[in-house]
Amino acid sequence: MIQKKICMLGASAVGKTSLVKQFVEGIFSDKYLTSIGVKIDKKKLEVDETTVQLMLWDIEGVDRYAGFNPKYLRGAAAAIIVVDQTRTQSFLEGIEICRLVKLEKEIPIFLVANKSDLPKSESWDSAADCGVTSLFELSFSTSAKTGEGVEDMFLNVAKAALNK
Amino acid sequence: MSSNRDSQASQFDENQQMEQLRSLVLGEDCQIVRDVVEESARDLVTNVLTEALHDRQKNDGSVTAVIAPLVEQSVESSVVARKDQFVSYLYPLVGSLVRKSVSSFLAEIIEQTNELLESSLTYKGLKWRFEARRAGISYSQYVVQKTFVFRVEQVLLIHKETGMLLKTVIRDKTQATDGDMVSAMLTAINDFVADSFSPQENELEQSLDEIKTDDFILLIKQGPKAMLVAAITGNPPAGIADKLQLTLESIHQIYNDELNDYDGDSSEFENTEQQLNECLLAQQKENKAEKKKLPWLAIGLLLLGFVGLVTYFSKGWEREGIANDIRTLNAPPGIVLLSSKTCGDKVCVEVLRDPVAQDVSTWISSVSDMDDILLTERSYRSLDERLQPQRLKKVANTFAELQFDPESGVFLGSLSRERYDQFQSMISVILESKSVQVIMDAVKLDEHNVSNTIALNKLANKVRLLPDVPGIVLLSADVCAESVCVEVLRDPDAQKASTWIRDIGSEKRIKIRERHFQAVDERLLPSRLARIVKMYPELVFDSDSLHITGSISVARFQELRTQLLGIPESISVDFLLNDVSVESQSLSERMSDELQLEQYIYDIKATKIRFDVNENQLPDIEIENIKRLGIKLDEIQRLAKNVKQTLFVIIMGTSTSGGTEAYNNKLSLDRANAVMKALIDAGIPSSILRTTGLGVFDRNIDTPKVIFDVVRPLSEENREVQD
Repeated sequence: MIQKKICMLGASAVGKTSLVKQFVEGIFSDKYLTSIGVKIDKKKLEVDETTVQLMLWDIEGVDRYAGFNPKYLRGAAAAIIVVDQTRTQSFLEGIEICRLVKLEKEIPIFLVANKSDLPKSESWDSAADCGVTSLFELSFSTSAKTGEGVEDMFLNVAKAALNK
Repeated sequence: MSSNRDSQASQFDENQQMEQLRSLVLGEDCQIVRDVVEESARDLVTNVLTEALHDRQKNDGSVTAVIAPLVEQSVESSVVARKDQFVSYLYPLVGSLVRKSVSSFLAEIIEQTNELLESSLTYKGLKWRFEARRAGISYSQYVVQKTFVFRVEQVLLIHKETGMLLKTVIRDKTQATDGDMVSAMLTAINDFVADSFSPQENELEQSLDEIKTDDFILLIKQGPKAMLVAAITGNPPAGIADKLQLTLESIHQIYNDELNDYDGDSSEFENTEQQLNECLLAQQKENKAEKKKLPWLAIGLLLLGFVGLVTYFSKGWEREGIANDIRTLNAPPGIVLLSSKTCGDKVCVEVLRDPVAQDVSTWISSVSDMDDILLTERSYRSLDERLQPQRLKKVANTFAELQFDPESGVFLGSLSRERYDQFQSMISVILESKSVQVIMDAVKLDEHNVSNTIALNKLANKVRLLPDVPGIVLLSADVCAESVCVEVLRDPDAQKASTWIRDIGSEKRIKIRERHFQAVDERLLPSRLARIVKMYPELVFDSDSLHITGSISVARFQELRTQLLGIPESISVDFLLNDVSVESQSLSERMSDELQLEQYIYDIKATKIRFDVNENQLPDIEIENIKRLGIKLDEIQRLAKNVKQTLFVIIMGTSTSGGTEAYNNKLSLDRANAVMKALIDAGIPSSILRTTGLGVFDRNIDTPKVIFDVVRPLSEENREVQD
């Protein structure tokens, strides 16, 4: 079995923990669990007949005042930057986080626009279309609440981690 | 052109010559070289074979692919062809492996059982259970804390950069934690610590060495590429850290490349298990006092259970044994054992038994007490000839009138028709027809008996028809054996039963059994009164008029009256005693007579009539004595009559010691007779006088004399009572 470390990053309350919870346990809790520092979960996947165990490092919400501990990125095979499509600000913060990650480590970075079950913010599209998506390996739209796109996103991340 | 051709020709020649030279040196088709190489080929290949295989294997791994099937085939054919030899090769190896495995398994089981007993069922165990529950940890964890100075529960080898778990070993598989998660979290915490307490630039990064909780210590050893983490309960000694450090260094040394190139595949670190296992150290607490404490509760319960089980099984075995013994017992004639098995706390025995056969309990008593046996007995008729004597004996008991010889089985005697038929039918059931005939021939049919029985029945009937007699009640009159048995109740004053039946005749054939009772029948009065009055001779009774006449003393009158009042029939006692007169002599007069009589008798006994030596004539000097004696004798006659006594006076003559015995005897008798004659002459009736000669009465006495005694045979009154 191959194990891969994946870091989940993003601004506060974009749904990182909920995404992991949805992926690992298949359930969603409306009650938001505040991440303290880092929360780790694991999940096994089958990718092209290879069993991969993803160690998901759910790193505390990052905002403009507090960065994240770059040591958490050590040994990561990929990073997922989660943004909240109802809050354009979270997207901007995601871009910043992406920059910080790239400074630290050369790994595939995935952009996940969460809360797809809710309507996008008005300025979302204009922000997303400013050509920054090239910073990311791939971008996905997910809903931690309905589970839509979650499996697919993690599967793609796992594939990318394996082929690193 | 020509020069060209020439040069070509010369070149051709050179080539040809070279060819020739080559063939000469190397032989045809390099045969000489080949031969030389072939000659040393073996040595050449031998020298480089191992290296060549190694290089090729390293290059493309094809050696394994080529050799593996060859090895497999060789092993297979060898196993098929030389199975025994293979078995002998493998035997020591497999044997010791199995032994080791089994002994280790057993040791583990014993250890676990011991621990369970020592810690689970004691008071201490219960207390620990309670405390573990209160502390919110599992019982086993609590026991470990209490039992060990320290114990390494789990060792984790973690890839430092990724935080991935490379390998973990756990002591207690049931307490397994998620190594993957622990590794990642530990790495995260370590990163957090390193970041939070970041030192000055260029200084070494801070890292965790130890994490302590109430129950656990996580001892962390950091290496350049990997971390070794030991989860320890208790207080680990310093040596354990060194051990971890050494192990971590050793792993770095061996797995340096794998650690450098780690890409998430932990299988390369499987072989570190042995090294990690060596880190699962433990030290047990030395608690001698507690060690000595035996789990009394458990031992008690176990003993109780054991004793119970042993008792239960031993009882069961005992019963099973009894059931078996009964099965093997030889059944006596007339008993068939159907089954013998244990049922509950008894042994159930089912038998068929002929009524004349031996008692089943007697038969079984040789193997068991009947208290333990539940006997079900059913009757049947056995055909066993050994039972014939018992059957014949039973017949003999029924026919007591026949003589039976148990040895020969022969019956002798005669029977009435009815009894004869009964006898025959009983015998026919027991014996075969041939034997029946033999038996019946010996028994005679007594026709006389028939008429005899009829006669007896008639006689009994006659008894029953006898007229009623006062004081006799007929209870039964039946034919019994050769006579008629009559049972009656009879009043003592009634006539005798034999007199009653005398009128029928044949009284010899009647056997009477009497029982006394008191009848109330006025017809019995004459006999009753006659019996009572007979006790009073001074009275006269007339049975016709029922009159009593005569004179009687006061005391006897009272006595008579009491007796008459006891008569059950109603009659006036005063009327009966109307003609009886009561004498005036009182009781005191009689007593005075008796006292006087005693006094006279005393005097008479003291009287002595002296005789001269060798003389049988009464001396004159004694005449006066004789007169006085005569008066006394008169008196005692009178008094004796008054008190209804009879007296005899014994006159005993004696002699002195001179002369022969016969002479002396005669002389003494003569003297007695002389005295008697003198008394008779004085008017004393000879009927009360008796004489005897005593001979020499006392050798010390020198004066011969006659002495007297008075004897009182039974008085008339007493004599009547005795009659």
